[in-house]
Amino acid sequence: MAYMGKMLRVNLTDGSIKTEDTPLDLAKKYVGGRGLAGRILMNEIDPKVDALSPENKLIFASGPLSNTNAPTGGRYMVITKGPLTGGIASSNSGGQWGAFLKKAGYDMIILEGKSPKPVYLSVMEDKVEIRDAAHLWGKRVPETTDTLIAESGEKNAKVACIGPAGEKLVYFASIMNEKHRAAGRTGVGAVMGSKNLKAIVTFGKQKSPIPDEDKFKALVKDKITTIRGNGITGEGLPKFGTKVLDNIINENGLYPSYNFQDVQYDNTYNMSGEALVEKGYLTKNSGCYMCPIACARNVELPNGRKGEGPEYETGWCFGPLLGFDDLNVICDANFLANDLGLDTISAGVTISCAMEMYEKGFIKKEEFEHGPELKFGNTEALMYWLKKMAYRENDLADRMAYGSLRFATERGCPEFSMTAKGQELPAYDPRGVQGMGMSYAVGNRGGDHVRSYLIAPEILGAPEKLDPQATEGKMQWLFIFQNLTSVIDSSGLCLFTSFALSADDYADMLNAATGFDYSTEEWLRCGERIWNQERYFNYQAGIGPETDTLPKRFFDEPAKRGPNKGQVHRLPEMLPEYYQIRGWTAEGIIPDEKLKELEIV
Amino acid sequence: MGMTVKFFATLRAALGVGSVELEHDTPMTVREVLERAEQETGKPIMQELFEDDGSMRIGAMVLVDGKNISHLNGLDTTVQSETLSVFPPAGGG
Repeated sequence: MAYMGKMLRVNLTDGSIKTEDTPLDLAKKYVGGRGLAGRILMNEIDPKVDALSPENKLIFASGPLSNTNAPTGGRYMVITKGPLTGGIASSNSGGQWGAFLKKAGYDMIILEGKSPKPVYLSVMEDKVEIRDAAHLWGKRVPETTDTLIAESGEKNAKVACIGPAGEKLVYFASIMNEKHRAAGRTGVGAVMGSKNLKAIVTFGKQKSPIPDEDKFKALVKDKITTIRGNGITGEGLPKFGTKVLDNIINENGLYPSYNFQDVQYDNTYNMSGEALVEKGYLTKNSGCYMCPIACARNVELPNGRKGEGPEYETGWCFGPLLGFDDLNVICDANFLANDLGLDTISAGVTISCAMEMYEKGFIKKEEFEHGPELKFGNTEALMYWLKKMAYRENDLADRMAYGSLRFATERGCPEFSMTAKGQELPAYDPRGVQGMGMSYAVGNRGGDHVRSYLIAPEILGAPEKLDPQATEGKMQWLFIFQNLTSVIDSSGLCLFTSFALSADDYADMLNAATGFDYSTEEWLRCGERIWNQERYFNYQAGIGPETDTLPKRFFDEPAKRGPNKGQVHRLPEMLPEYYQIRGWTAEGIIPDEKLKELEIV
Repeated sequence: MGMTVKFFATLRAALGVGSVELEHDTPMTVREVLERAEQETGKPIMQELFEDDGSMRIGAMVLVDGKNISHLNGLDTTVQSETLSVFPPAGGG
């Protein structure tokens, strides 16, 4: 049945640890991971609670395919109410940690309350305990990870932890596992910090129970062959990683630069995935648990510093978005953000917002104190202000640590914040790709590229090529992508598999692993339920349809150049159709009948 | 007239050059441009981009001044002095 059948409930206020049965009746409706934990969160907290209060809960969850041989079956999700958007947060991470949570015997961990002092949680197969973390508080991610592996006595133990940014409640703090993999978005690290929880260590050797091992193995072998035979997952991603996109997106005219004031960047090649290889910085690629793609980058810089990354998004927001292309600085800043436990996208876009604000007179020079000016093109500023934000070391950085929307709004210029629902946008300009722009606008966590990656059909041509400027028919694609992605996330697999696999492929593997015997349509129905459940949570939290929009720049300032010159985003043409396809009211509210039909209420 | 054909990702590595410059007197189709580029580099390009049935491989693309030929006239798209950007199958996120 693929589930371990047990989950941990840890109350950090009183130190109690309980083992409970995984609610398999709910798993049949919400799959696992993001879906199941989201439903549990909705059942157990008032969506209106302060995200950083003890009343919020923090759930680490695996999916049914985590800890199986399914390709990429090692992911986990962190589900909570996030401080950045104020809505449901579900951050997904790779590496090994998710598989090891199940190897220790648990499908998920529900963390409640707030510890009176810094602690960490040790989840070993034979013993679970809360331990003192006074010696770790203030430490960066690599030192914390190494120390905890040594303390566990098990060299293969896996550590998920926060860095200084999470401790300081930076609204876009990440949770890092195995040093380099991030549950990055929506500020889940700040929630962990608010609970005085520094880390969770996992280790065990248990296998996930599969009803028919032979059948499952044969299916998995078939799916791996499909992934390896696909041009994207079998060639482009292994060779160049996600940074292969730099030139693709720039040449297609939707590569934002200078805080989205422009849609292309002249020197993109200098910092692209190709340049990373040609300059000799890439030492090897590596993969997460059971991954046949292996897109992770192991990099060594001329200055001797080593680390993983950068991914496409990070390379962009630590480079061209800020007006420079120095690959050394980009990589170094990526290493630093990982060490500090910062979400790179929100950190980079917040800095770019500040650069535009300074350029236009909304930040005074004296606010930098002795630090470098936040000016486009100033490479010095990036490393300096990343660190300042993580530690909240001066007044300006302290305000930036709330994210670009709060920061720009309190200074009277919210139009410079490139966010949707309060979360910073990723590296695809909505003026160049109409469907993806809608994905940001109506996404349950706002500015985000992994809830419905319409770049696949609109730019890459997978599974078929759509015109990026067309609006007709796009909302049906968005509907299907949102539902399917909800299932993929909740199953514990990586979204990258979807470049090669179809909805039927996921249904095959889920049926063989869980024994549920659902049709593909029934699995997609689970995805629809998950999507609506998340939106229902947000609505209860006070985030209504009025937030289904984009920064006004994309409506008022046409693209300056390239193939999309003169284009704006055409949200008003698409939003009513999206609501209609979803079965919501014309105002974007989920009607009671829909909630009942999906068995959400 | 002059035309620049730029190569990216694994194709760039396979060809060993980042771009080729082509001189021509009359407008050409994208198919003719790619065939000329194959002659210039001495290495296959078309087979990296297209399936046996002539359809574009998933993730591959040919852009004419940033516009995908899938939304123009495919390989029969006529070009004069534009820049062509050629990508073998690639993607990410």
